[in-house]
Amino acid sequence: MSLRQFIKDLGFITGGAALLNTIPWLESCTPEKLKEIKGEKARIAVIGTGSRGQYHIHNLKEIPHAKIVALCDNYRPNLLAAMSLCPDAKPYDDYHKLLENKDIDGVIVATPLNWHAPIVLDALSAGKNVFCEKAMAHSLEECKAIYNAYLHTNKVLYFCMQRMYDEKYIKGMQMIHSGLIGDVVGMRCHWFRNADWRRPVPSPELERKINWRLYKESSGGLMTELACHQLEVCNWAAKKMPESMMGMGDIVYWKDGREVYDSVNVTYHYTNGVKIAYESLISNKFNGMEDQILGKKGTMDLAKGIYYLEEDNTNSGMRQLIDQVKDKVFAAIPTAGPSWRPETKMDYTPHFVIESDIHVNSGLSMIGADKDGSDIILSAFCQSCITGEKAKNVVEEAYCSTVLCLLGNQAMDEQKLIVFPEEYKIPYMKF
Amino acid sequence: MMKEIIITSKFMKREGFFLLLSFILAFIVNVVAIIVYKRPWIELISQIGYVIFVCIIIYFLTIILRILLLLIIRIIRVFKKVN
Repeated sequence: MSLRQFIKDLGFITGGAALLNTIPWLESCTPEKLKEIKGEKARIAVIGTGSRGQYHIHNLKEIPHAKIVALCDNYRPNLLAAMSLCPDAKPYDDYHKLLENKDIDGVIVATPLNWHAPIVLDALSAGKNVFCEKAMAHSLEECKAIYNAYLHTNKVLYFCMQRMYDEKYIKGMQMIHSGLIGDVVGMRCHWFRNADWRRPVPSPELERKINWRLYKESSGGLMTELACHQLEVCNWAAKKMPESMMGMGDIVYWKDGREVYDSVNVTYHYTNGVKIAYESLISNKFNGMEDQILGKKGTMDLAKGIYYLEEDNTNSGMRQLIDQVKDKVFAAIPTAGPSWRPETKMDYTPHFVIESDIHVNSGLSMIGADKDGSDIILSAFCQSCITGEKAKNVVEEAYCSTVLCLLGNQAMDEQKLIVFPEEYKIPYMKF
Repeated sequence: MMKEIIITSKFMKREGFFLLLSFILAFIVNVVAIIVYKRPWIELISQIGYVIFVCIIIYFLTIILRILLLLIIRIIRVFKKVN
């Protein structure tokens, strides 16, 4: 889907201030602004050409206002694979050299997490626009350093918070904020997989380089790799940040020398008592991935683009009457009050947030789901490289969610309640 | 030899009357449901399937009621004869 089609599908009309009030990050890529850059191309370099980098290359090749001019990876097979995709691009094995190239407008950083901060900071210093994969960085200090650099640069900085550019999430959020599911009373996010998260390693000395996700020196584990997006969604729905968190993490099944947890449960607590129950497990995939926002009147499952209402008035009157009679006849337990009723999950009627097909993945892919907003945010970044206009809120959202992931890891490591540290609060945050 | 069952026009008229009565009752239930649950009036037509379903249930209830009534009347008659 093109950026233009995406914005059209959101119901954007010329000068659509009402729509942009709720999604200000799209101000930088309205259809009018797209017209202004007609014919121009952003010269893009990709740093880190592993699976995710190659995924971005495929998306970039579909973007009319982007041209891949350089590639960089210090792992030769990945660089060769990327070069076969875009033979005209100049190859590098040192990102410093690539940043010296004056013919590059923007760089895409798709490296292991521990390399995000050094590359992003160096690229901004070199005067490049930057698009970096989530999570923002490997430590709280690095996140703050990037945020401060962003405040002082006139360059464009994006983090791949693709849910902000996913139609079903945007429309779902608009429905939540319009009161469709009532007051938000809880949030329940989980990501379940049944895979070891490993990649084949040609020789043992490459283990930490290729399977970087499994080691603490280069990864935040399930929190930074999976929870990051989901926590961002929760804050978007709640319009605020949790003020404390606690959790437990363990290596339950994949005892193969990895250092990061393969099972995490973290609870985030907002000042109004609302909580995020976050859970991720990679040895059972029954529950899949869900971002559930629980309201007094209904539940929004943003990952599926479906909502359910507690009292479903969309059913016909006759159907509601029959259901009520059925409930009265069959659900009553004469020997006890209603609190003794076992409230096994009901079959709710699903309502779809958007008309078109919802793209979901099997949970096995480590690269990304199809049409999940990654292509749109990338296209918006390339447009920003040409216009120089920053996208509102993207860096702030990435900062907030990454800090929460890192604090979640800290809570699990220390097995204690963590209160959000004052020194990492930014003006964007509301508690 | 099999017993011949004769369906008289009186029987058919009577059952037709009960079926019509059941349908009217079911239709009224639908009207009440539309008002109570604040649903659009198009459901008078669109929910006709549910109306027929409820109509059949009511009709079978009338059959059960009539059989029960007949049994009670017969028991009373037998009781009177004995005394």
